Amino acid sequence: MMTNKTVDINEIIIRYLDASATQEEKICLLQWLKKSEKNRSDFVETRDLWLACEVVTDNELEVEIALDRFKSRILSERNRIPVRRERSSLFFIQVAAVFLLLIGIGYWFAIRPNFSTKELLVKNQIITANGSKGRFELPDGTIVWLNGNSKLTYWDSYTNGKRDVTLKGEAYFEVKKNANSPFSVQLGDLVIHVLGTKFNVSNYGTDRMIKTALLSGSIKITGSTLKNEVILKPDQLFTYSKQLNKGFVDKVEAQLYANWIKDKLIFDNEKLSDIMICLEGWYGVAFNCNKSFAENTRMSFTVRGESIDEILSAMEMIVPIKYDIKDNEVTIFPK
Amino acid sequence: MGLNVSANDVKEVDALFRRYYKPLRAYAFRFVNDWIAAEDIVQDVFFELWTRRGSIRFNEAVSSYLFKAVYSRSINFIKSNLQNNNCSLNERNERNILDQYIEDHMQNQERSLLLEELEAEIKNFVESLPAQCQKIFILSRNYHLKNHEIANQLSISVKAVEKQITKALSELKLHLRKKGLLFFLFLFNI
Repeated sequence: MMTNKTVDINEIIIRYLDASATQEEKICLLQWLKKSEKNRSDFVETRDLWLACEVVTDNELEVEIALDRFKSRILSERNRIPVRRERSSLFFIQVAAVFLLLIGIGYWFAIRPNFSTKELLVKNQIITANGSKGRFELPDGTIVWLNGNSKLTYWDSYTNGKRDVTLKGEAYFEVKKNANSPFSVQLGDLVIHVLGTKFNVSNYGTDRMIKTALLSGSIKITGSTLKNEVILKPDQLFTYSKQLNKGFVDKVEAQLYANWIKDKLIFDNEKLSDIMICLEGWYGVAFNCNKSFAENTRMSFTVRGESIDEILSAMEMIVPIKYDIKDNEVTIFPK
Repeated sequence: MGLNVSANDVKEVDALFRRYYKPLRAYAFRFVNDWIAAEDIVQDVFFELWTRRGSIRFNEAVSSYLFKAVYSRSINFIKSNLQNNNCSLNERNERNILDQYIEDHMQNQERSLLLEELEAEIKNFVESLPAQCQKIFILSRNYHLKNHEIANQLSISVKAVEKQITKALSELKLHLRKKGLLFFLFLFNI
């Protein structure tokens, strides 16, 4: 039978492992350990199990970050060899209370086939955790804002004059103009071809749609599943359904799709339909609402670090609506 | 030292790192009781492996090399820490006495934490936990949050977090013991 005392000692063990045990508790644990061989083996069991649970869980990000550290170290030890590696300037904003490890840049190595085998090509990977976002400058001067739960992969030196990046998740790009070196974003089914422009892409694996909104300039979207290439003009949105392998173009206010990069959202008597677009990027959720209701309902509020539940219940108080949130989908009803 | 990097070397060390990083880090933690030190030790061991890649074959036996290297670096770390402490013997507090006792009595065996046999069992167990308990457990073991950070994130007391983790661990212990698997954890030598 478990006595109160043994329950306490188990909690002290947990606090010891958490490095939060007090001196008193440590003395208590020490005395308890000294008491019997059984106590000692109990302790070892608990500690090893505590560690074992840590080992078997999947936290890929943590390993990626450690691997990145290891690979940077190998690279820096090899400085004698002419490897050009400019670190992207990394500027970082933590939005909500999120996990400790947020961004990792991974390096891969490849050997250029027809070149000195001593030259390394470095593949960079930027990963953001859920609820975080960051601004990065790529080696060519292109600015990328990466939203939460996203991954951007690029090579340090662009081969054959091409600037190719791969995106999973959501990003806002301000592509540095360079007519000789086309910039392209690989999105699985689709490829976006760019010369120099500002646009936002949302390509989450969990979403059914890939959305590309163009703020300025022009972009061309191609894909093996598309009959014709699509040329977007500013303030157009291309929505592509991954299930139907089809897409369509809408006229929108494209800036709304990139508002998630700001450090706060200010709505001053804005339409609910516009607010929903901004909140989708901000919280990484999808909104559903009756179109004419959303077009005709206006409200004012500011979003900083609030959770989506806090914002939705605040909205409920401002205007007569009800909401329902399930998985990553928010449905808003008129009340 | 060879400057030639073969793509194969890179691929192999990459795979080894992914496979062994966490078990090795946990293994180092058993000795040094400090996550940052444990991480540094594993990084050093992999770096050494990399610089010696001409003389070490990246095959199955490499795991034994890795665990042994982590073991000896951990012991060195403890020893050099101890020396630093001896300089100010008067200041040795209870923390050091407890750590010292645990070092002396509870980690003299070399055991690996390669738990493939246990992995599925532990994962199933975690999935079967009640929602809140599962959340706490995952934040603690998966995301490495400290108990007070979990308490903050979930707006509950630290005490409640400790209770849930304690409860989950003792249930897991029972569960594994019933399945005869706890045995593995302790006798699986490298």
